[in-house]
Amino acid sequence: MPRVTRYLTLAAAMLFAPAARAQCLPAVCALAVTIQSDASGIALGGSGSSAATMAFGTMQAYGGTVPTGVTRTVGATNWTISTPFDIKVSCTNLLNLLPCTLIISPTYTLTAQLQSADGTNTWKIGSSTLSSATPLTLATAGTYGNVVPYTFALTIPFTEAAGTISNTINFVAVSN
Amino acid sequence: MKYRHSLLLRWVAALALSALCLGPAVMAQTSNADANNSPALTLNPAVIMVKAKPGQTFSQELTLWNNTIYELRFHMEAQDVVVRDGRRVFVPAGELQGSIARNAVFTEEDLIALPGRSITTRVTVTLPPTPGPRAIACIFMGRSPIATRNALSMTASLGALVTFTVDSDFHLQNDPLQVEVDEDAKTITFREQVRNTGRDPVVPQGVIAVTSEGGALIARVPVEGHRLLPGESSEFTAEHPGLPKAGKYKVTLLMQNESALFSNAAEFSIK
Repeated sequence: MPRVTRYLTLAAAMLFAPAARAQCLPAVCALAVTIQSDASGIALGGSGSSAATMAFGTMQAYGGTVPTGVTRTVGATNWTISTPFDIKVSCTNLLNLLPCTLIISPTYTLTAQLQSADGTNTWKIGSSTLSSATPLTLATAGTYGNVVPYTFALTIPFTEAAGTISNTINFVAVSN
Repeated sequence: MKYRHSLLLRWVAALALSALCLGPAVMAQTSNADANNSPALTLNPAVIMVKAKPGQTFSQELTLWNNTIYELRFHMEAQDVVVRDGRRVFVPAGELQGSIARNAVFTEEDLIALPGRSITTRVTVTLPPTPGPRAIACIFMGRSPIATRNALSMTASLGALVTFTVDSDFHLQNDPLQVEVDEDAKTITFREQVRNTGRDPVVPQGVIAVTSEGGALIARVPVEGHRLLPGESSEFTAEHPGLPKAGKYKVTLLMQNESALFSNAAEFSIK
């Protein structure tokens, strides 16, 4: 819906809505998400924060250097690099700074989505393929405070010319 | 003396209630101090429970702190949250019949969060005449390319869940209570599968009481609340450390939701 139409709809709704307003109860909690290096994976830039980078340097299917913590698998028509990384989602009760137990359910949903479409390479987390169109659900009932390991994998076809590959994965956490 | 205690309790209750009701302005100050402790994104509030009728309007400020070293860009998105095949699914606004997310308007749709600073937007939602879903997610969707050559960037986005109670239709269906005694680990685990068969969200929670054959209370274990959207089910579990002496025992689970109490019982024995 165009923005102007939406504002007009909203204004009309507010003008003609019943006098009583909705009652709401905001949970006094803060949700936070951090991306961390896994002990057996590549060292992330910005590990422990909400914005991290995974730099593989220059890699090739045969020979060359494979960064520590990265696994290279060569297939018949493509090759894959993979490495584990960790994600932690926490929720803190702002009244007492203790983990939330009231109002908030003790779990969260985590999804992942590629920021830019890539029709050549295959980007995966675990065994599921990422896309820019639909979010991939990584956890439906993740437990707050737990460090959860995931495995990132990028499959590159041999038909692809040498060059730079980069993209961004957007992780979205929502309280349950 | 009893009167004094009563006054004190009322004062504490009023203080707690006012802390809950003061809203985001006060919460922001508290959260900022907490958020500074880790270089992460922090969103407050994380969950908002709204009771409203079709046509009514709800409004809430959402604040996100950026404690990373990066300048981050966000676009506000509202998505409907529904349960399909037992799992929560986030559906783009407008795709569902009676979409609530379609009526969500943000005062600021595109925001830039400088390192160490917070950004705030206010979401205003008017319920459609016949709302389909009962929850939306208001998401600060990351839009920052943290570009480095031959690298994968990973950014976090955070969403606030807003649930809507529209019809006050709360119905739960529960399976028989399961009791598992682990004699090696010396623990007793209680499991109860609960499904929300009503039209509105519920947050059931309760307590488990273990009594002896003679009716003496042996143990009491709290059952943590889980939010269940319409059609959603969840296993409520509670664990009791340690085993009572040999004998037969009765377990009574008492749970409450927004409108009612319900109970379930089972028996087990320790050899």
